[in-house]
Amino acid sequence: MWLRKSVEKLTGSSRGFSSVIGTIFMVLLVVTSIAGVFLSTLYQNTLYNYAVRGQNQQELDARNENVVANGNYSVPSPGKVSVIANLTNAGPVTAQIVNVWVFDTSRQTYGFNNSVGSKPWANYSWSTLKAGQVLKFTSNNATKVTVPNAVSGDSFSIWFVTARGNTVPLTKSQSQGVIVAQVSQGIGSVAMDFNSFVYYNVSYVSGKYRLQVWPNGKEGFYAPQENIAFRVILTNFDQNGRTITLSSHSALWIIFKTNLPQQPRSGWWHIVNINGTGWISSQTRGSFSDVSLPYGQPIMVYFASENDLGTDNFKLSSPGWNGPAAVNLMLFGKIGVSTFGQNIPFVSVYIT
Amino acid sequence: MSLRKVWKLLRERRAVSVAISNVILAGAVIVVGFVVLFWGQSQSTAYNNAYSQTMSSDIASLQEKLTFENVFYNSTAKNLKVYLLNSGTQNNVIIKAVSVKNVITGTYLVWSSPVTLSGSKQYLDRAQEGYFVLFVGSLATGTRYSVLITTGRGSSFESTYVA
Repeated sequence: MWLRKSVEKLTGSSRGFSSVIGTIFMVLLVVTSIAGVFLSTLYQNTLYNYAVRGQNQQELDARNENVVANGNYSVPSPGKVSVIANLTNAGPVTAQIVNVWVFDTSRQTYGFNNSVGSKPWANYSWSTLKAGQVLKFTSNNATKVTVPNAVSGDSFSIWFVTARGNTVPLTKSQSQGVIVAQVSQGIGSVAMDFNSFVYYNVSYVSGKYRLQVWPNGKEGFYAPQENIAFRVILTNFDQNGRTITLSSHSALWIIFKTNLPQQPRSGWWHIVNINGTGWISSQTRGSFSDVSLPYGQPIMVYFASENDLGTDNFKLSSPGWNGPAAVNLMLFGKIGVSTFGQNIPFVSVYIT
Repeated sequence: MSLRKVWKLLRERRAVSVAISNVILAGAVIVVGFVVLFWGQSQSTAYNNAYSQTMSSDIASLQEKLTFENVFYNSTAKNLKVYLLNSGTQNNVIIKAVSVKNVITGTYLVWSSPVTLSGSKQYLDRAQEGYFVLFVGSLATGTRYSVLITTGRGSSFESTYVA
């Protein structure tokens, strides 16, 4: 009863009602204004926190990025440096190689190649060197960098740059020479491919000499006596990555087994140039062009002339003896800018 | 309501002034209220905009990252060539100023502003590379120097090198 009377009294009287309405409006206005500012500030702070978090993550990724570059380099021609490397992503995050730099410390010149990320052979478009993945810059698709005045024999400092801004120095591979020696595939700076040692019969057609059964030839361990030529595949593994240039004095030399001490029997074939269809292109004195062995690239080298083409015209060579013979490679020329000469016991052949 | 009552109401003059004053007072309060409301809204909007711009600028500055790919001193031309990569997540990174300092002595050799990048560009977009050349005069061989770059957003990046 008392409560009903109180309610009726309150609702029945209009005194003070406007104050209540005004206060409500006032509170709503203040709340609206303050809430807008508050929410906006909160939103901006959230954005900033997201950005900070993202940036921290990027810094963390950059610190965790761990790409290892191991390989070597060569200077196939003056001013061009060929970088051969295995890039291993040893870190937990995907890495992106965007640039390779070469600094010639001998001449204080430098160059870079920022198209490594778009190499079509690498299936590699600016972004994918996944964790654990290995990217190989082999001899056939080595990254070429133009470095003014660089020559073979110079010292180089090489590094890769990742998209996160880390630099990856190229660690020079020292193991190749050891491995080569361990498996008897090479002596000194040159490795030989035993499986690709072949001979060719040489025919004389219209004033020119041509290698028969071109380009494969015949297995070289058993060869006939008459008018033959040999092919070997050589790979330059110079520890300093220098290019080897073979001159016309280079020859393949065989020594026959004999029990006649005063009569050493041998045969030899000097290095020649062959064109793309098996024809001998260096037939006259002085026509021979030096054969270049860039670092790490297997190169076919042909031996066919009895005469040194630097001093005489081409002449067919025949051993003139039969039986087992030891084969040696006598190589002359230059390694980098230095002179080079090396005799390599190579294989054995049986001349029938 | 009968016509007589309406006529009586219109002819009655008592309390008219009170009603009018109440109307005027209420109107004034409403007008002032709205003025205060709009002023408050504009102030809060201005504050929001300013805060938003500050935050955007801070975020952009935070996300800037420049990598020094190579710093090369040409002793013949006596200039410094600095190769940069924008490895951050922001476009339009402007190189506002560059200073070169001797790390050992702490003396500034060059203070350059503004800096024009290769290709007459003024900025580097994301993942873009570029370089600038700075004449620095003779540098002591074997001495360590630092290059400090300040961007348009106020970030700074430093790299040291040995001349």
